[in-house]
Amino acid sequence: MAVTLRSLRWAVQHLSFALLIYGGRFGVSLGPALPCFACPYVAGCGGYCYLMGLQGYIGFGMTLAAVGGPRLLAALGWLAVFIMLVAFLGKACCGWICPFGLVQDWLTALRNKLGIRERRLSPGAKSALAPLKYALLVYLALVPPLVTIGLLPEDFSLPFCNICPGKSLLPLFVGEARYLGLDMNNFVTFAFSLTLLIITGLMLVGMFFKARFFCLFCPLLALIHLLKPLTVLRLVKAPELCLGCGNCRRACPMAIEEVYQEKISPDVQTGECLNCGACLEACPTDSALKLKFLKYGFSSSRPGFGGLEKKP
Amino acid sequence: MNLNIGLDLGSTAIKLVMTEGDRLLWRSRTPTAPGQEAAARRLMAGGLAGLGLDESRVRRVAATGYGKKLFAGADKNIDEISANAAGIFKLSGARARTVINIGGQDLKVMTLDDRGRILDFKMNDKCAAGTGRFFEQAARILDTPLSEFGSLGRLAETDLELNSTCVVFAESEMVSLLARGAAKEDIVKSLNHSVARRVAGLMGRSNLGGDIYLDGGPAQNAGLVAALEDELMAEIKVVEEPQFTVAYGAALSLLE
Amino acid sequence: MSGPASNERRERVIKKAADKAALEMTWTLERLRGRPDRKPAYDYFLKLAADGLSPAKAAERTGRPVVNLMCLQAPLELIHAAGFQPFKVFSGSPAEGGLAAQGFPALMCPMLRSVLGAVQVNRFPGSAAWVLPTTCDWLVKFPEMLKLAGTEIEAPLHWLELPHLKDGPEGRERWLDEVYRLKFFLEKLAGGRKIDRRQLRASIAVYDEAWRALGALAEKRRRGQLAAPWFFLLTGAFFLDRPEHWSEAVRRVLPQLEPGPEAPRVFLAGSPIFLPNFKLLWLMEEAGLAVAADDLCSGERLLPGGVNYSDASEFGLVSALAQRYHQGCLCPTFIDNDRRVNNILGPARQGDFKAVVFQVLKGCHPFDLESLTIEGPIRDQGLKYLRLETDYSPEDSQNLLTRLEAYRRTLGEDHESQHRP
Repeated sequence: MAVTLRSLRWAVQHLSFALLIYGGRFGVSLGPALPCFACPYVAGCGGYCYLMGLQGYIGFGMTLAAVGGPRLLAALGWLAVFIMLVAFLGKACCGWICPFGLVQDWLTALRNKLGIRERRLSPGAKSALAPLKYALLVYLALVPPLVTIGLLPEDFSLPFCNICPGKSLLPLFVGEARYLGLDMNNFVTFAFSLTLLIITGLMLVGMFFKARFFCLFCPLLALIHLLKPLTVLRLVKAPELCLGCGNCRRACPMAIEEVYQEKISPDVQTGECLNCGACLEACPTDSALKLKFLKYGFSSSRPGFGGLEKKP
Repeated sequence: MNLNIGLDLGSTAIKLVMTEGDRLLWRSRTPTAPGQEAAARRLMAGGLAGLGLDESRVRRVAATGYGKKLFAGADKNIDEISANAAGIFKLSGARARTVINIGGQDLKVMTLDDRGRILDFKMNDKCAAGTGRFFEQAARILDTPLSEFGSLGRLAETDLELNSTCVVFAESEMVSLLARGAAKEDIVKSLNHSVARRVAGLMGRSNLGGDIYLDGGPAQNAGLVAALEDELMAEIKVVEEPQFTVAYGAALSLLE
Repeated sequence: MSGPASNERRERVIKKAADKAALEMTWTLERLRGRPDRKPAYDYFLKLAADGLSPAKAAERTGRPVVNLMCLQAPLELIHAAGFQPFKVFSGSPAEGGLAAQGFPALMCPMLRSVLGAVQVNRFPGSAAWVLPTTCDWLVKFPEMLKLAGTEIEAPLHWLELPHLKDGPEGRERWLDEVYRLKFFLEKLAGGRKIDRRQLRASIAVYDEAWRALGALAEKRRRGQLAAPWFFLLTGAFFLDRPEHWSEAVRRVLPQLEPGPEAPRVFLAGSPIFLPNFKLLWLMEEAGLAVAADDLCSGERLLPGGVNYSDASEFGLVSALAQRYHQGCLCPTFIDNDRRVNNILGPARQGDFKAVVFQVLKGCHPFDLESLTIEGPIRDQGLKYLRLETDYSPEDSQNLLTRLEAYRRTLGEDHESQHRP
């Protein structure tokens, strides 16, 4: 049987997971500017999520002493690396590489195995939630400078990491459960660790009942989307071929409506698209959808229709 | 001299033309009746006799019309729409762009390009409303030969409204008009107008560009031509002996 | 005018129609058998059709009770998963239509008229139930017309109320309710046995395979290796046996196909064509036109197929089926159906054909209007377009042939001019 996009993606996700969670133990170090949840709290990980770096750089970069200093240069250098990675990989960072994305996909696979139905959000609820990830982005960018100028204590310097379920869950894969505990060091650390515990619990429930539930809130996904004009990986559509059947919406882990609804523009790379390619395989119309990397790409086709397990 | 023969075996009449190249040498026709093959052969024999030629001079024969498959001696069969287009295009001096044909039991509208190729065509379905059959029936009811329809219509003084082009319904309408003392010429005029409306309806939103030609037997009816001009708001041309255009086109097709 | 004498007369008329309908089928199959492009693998389908288009035969062959359907909207997988054989009720028979002609509107859907006649000759006995969607007005009035015709269907009848808006969440939700009601109906019909998700997935896989086989067949036809009458014989036999057997038989046909004679290739759109009435298909061949593709619900659209799902729960599977059979359907009965024409224009752009023949069955109003609305976009793309209005009777054959021949010549000239240097 031919390699389906789905099996290819599944393989890439697992490779990436192994590399990013365990790679450090074998000497892999991909730097601190990765556009995915390669969590620095995982001991021996193969590279770091850029969100941590971003919080740090914005904080330290604000000090006058750092202007022109090596730290600013390093910050700008890593920003450039991050932008280049995003430009190159686009949302494949989310759909193909992110280890936390894979954890969510495992939960979805488990739910499917158990035959429990997915709870999809209504279009209204989805659009109400959409701005939240941008709010989180603003939050993680604005709080660290307040620490730098002394308005907030040191414990606020990583305001997002402190509430990120990646921090609580991903270290579990190297046997580290410490971030699920309450940090009684002081009131701020206690409040953060309690919040994280609650968020983790809510997210676990959410991610079990709804595919890629966390991605609805992810500020990194929001940041990558802001860089969309630079990206070379795009989901494109030939609206003149689309029959409007809605298969893509049903296949989409983010339940995106815009792809089948679009009747004019070829640009269907929407804010929540993960470039996972599930829609491509679910589309029975030749060349109606294409996951395009520069001029190369996968196209939808009827023979390539593969959103279905062959054996029941 | 090598003759080409075009035979149009229509529902009302069988038409024959003899040509040399595209030059028309002979035309004749006979009403359609059972035994079409024999009738066509008689026309051919008559034509050859009239031209003083014998059968060995006949190069090829093309048949068209509903009965084309009934004539076994044809070298070529061609559909009447294509034959019609070819014939009228040649006869119009390559000027025809829209062709309206009223045949014995059908209506056709063709649009042609500047090389005489058919761009599009429309044809009535199996209903014979507004066709030659309709005029024939009217001639019978009005007890007036078809050849007088053109001149009669021009004498009309009143505008009557004939509602139907349906062969079946129009009969009773005409009978009741006659019973109410309506003049024949007024009835003929309303007949012409009602057929013209039906033709215009068939044409629908067809683009009327270039010269418009009407052919088929009823095209000899000047009243109908005038009515159609009113209905389409355009000038309509008719070639001489317009009932032979299809047979002539069939003969021309032998030159392809 | 009742009593034994009139009953006897009625019986006689019905028997005559049944005999004539059987003869129509025999003629069609004889004509197919006598063709030079007949392949051994067609014999399976010829035999199915020769045994008669009856649910009783399908029940016997599949070992499952039969549920009769009309149109395309009841999910076949759901019926199959409940342990039934879905059977699409159709008729192309002029004789059956003639039987039902009296007392109905003159301009009536010929297909429904013939199905009425087929019910009168009792061609559909032995089915466990009928499932009808409210696709068009003729179908909605079907049971009343049966009553007027002095007959009725003996099995329970279940209606699916079809939302004519399909692009948004509202119609989607309402249709899902309808599909769930169908599920409960089928479960009750099966003696209370629940349809579980394991069966649903198995059925989805079975029909997915059939859909893939149909796609492979269509692909062959697109490449000029399969004549339209054979294609419609194969699709017409789909409901007469287990879908697995049909798929296997189609897979046996595929390697035997070879290129047919060169002919201008057209897209056939519009009202469906059913056994045994292949009038238009014969006439198109006679006029030298080959069907490259179609969007008939008796042809390439026979199976919605392509039922993908990311939620493998029972709810997810039923939703997937409901959406695929509703939103994915290109029937002109829907309001938000403007993308239907893409199904013609898309393959045309790939150069599969340069012309469209649109068949309107007289009295089929959705397709009649559709033939007008899609004409513009089709012509705008430079395709030729021929609209043919017809019914089941053979009397307009000559008229149709004339038009098809002239149409062919307009395509042929294009063809030649392209090859000129």
